[in-house]
Amino acid sequence: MKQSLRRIVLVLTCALQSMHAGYLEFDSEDGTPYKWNVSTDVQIAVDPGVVSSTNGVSNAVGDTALGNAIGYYNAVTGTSLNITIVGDVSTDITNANVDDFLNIDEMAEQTSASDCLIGSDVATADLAVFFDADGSFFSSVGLGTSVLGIASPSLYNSSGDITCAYMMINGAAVDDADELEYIISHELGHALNLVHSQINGDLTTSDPDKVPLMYPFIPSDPAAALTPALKLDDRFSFSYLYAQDEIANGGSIQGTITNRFGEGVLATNVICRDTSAVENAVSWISGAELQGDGAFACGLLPNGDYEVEVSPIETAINIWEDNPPFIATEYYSGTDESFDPDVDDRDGAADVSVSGSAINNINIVLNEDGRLQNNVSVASSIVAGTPFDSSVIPSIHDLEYFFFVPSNARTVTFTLEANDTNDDIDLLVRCGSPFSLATGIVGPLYDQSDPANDQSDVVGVTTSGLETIELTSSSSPSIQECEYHLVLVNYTDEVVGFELTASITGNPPKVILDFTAQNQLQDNGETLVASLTAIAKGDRFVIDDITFTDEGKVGAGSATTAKLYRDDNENGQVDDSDTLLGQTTQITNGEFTIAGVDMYLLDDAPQEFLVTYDLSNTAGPQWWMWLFVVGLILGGCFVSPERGLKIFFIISMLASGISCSSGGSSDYNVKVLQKSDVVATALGFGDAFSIENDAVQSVQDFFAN
Amino acid sequence: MVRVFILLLCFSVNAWGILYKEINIEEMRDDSDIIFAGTVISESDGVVEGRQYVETTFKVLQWYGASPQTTVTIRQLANQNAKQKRQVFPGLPILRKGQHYLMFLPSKSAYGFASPTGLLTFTLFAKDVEDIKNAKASVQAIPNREAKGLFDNIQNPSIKALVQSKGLSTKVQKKTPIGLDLLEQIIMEKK
Repeated sequence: MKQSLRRIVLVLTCALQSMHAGYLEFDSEDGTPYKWNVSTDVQIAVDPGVVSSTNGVSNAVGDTALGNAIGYYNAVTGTSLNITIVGDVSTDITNANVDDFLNIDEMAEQTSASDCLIGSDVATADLAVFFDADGSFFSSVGLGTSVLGIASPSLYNSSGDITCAYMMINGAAVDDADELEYIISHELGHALNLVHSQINGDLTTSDPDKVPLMYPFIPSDPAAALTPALKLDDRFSFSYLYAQDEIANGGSIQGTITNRFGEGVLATNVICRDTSAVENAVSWISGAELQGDGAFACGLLPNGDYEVEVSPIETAINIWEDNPPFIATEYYSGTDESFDPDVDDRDGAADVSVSGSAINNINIVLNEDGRLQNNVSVASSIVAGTPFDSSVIPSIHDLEYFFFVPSNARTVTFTLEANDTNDDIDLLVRCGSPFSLATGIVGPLYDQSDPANDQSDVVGVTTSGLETIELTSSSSPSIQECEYHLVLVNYTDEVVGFELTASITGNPPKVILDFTAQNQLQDNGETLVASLTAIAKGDRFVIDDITFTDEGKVGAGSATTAKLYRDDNENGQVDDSDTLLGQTTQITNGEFTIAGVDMYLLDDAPQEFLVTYDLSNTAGPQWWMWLFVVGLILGGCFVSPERGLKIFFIISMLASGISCSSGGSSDYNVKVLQKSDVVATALGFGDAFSIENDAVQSVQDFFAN
Repeated sequence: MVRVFILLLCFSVNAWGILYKEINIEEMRDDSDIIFAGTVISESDGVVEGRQYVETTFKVLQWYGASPQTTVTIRQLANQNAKQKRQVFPGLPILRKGQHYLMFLPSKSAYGFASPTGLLTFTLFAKDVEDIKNAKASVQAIPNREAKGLFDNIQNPSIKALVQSKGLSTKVQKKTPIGLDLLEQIIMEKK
């Protein structure tokens, strides 16, 4: 049943099938959000007690606020979801009896009709509202008056439909009717399975009507006007669950958040914001449906020009990922979009024009500002520490650096040198995942008194401005094949300029290119002329350009276009599953260069590629045909009939033999002749590597053999 | 990499939606009964009166106020994730063993529950833990929420000027260090 429902949703929203809005509860196996079944009303039963004994807010005020809140959701068009109040429960709900009415401990699958406790009191109700009049429930579980309300779905059935939910209002914290209406509207969103939003939070005081209802904070300033109606971001989240038609018919922006290697980055916050109307903003969590591609989408967008921003998730907003990746905020930059900060200014935004339909492929590649290259120093400066008495509170450099140490590395050396070596700066290093600077929910970066408990694997913490860390197979810790992350700390009260260098030693890595000649017409009309297995040994590689030379009998001369595919399904044939990496029409003397292929090779992990030609339909007869004609002329016109017949026969047989052999695999013989034909970078060793194939053998391998 | 993320995602099966009231540092101070800087030295979990909890014990490094204690133990409401591991309810601060915090707490409830005031915690960073005792530490993160309004409407004019000069008048920038000495001055003004 769950699958059927999902298929229906997919049909309705084919243009937005990878989308979902923020939600609290979902199937942890496939990411499908739970939702109320729209074919029946969501029926609410209400606590008959006062809302706030502390601040004198009556039950009648609560009923009015709840009715208004329901109205905001029922007013959304394009859905048959309807929320109603069925009456009061029979008993005042208090801290003493709350567990008799609400399932607040676990989100669980409903196993019997009676599981939804409120249903045993008000037969048809499936959502209970609890007014904690004196705040005793909230204080009993250690929450103070700064928490205004809590809500959540609590049960679901085997079809993924929410069947029970609750809302709890902290009476000790509610000041008046306006605030109560805002709190109930927000909590009702949670009961409908909406999650928090983190956009426009800086406007809570100055422009509260532009802050999403699902923003998790309300101003403590009582003079700030509260506007509990759903904003665009709320409507998109709600409509994703309950009004898919509405989304499918509107303007939208869709794309992915990836790293430089095309791997999806999950759990970042993506915001699509109208450049001329800040309230027209919709947000999404990348990869929130557990897709590996880091997909996002923003829907219900009014016509306009939009900026697309990706930023870290605030921990309070994010309830499904303990440690969201620390990333620096950046914007979609159109044709400049790249991992390379020299190409892509993270603050530069390209407008995306929306006019009532889906805009696809707005793909953001996160910048790699902090990647170090082997033996290439970076120069920058660390902000000053904070003076305190005669000491200084240290500051941390605002960019984390990282460096890949490959399997062939025998030593790695990190050197941090202050411009003035009397300035005390430190270097902290860890292998594997990045340091956690943003969330602070893991251990300390460095703890001198308990190094086993901090995040650093190895540190340079002298009192000078020169820190050197060398790792070898015999050092402690020993060198590892991994991405090393580096954090810099400044113990002075001045800005400190520095140079940071990472360098490795070891046998240079290589790329082995293993070509197999082919001659097969493909379904797309191209001729497959070579299959290629590429293997990196000793490092990871990014290959940008490759120059091929075809020494086959026919060669590349007859081709109008040469193409390079990644054989994604590894079936040896070009088909829709494969990725076209690049192509060229510039073919000279059997040589051609495919540029910008961006081939990423992991260490010791073979990848398959295919080289094809578009053979010209308009080209003249091939040379063996001319030979045949010459034989015909010579044999028929310029010699005696007897000798002419022999000449004609011999030349014809020769031409015929050649023409027959032209269908063989020896017609094409694609190679890479020399290292300079490959423009590539080894992530660890940089440009210190070799290329090996039938035509190229490294000097190192020559001696090794 | 993707596989790792998916595993993490599968952990969470339940969540609360919580609405908070914005709170500034002085309100946070005034609403708290216990304020200290400390290091998390142990964690455990259990069930009391039908409520699951995660228990956290701090070694106190610096105590602010009367009746100083050397250790503080608090419980926070918890549930079990998909792998049957007990965790604090999503939205409540996650406190990590070995991490140093500046804690603002209400009085503990009858069963020992006390989540940080405003569900807001300060993570401290220092080269040596001894420095924290002398307020020579920086606040590097505010882990549980964007600190909206935290330094708004501060009454102490000298602190307000300092905060504004650092460009922090509206909120703490995550990567900008704030001196513990600054927060300590605000704490010590508690009436």
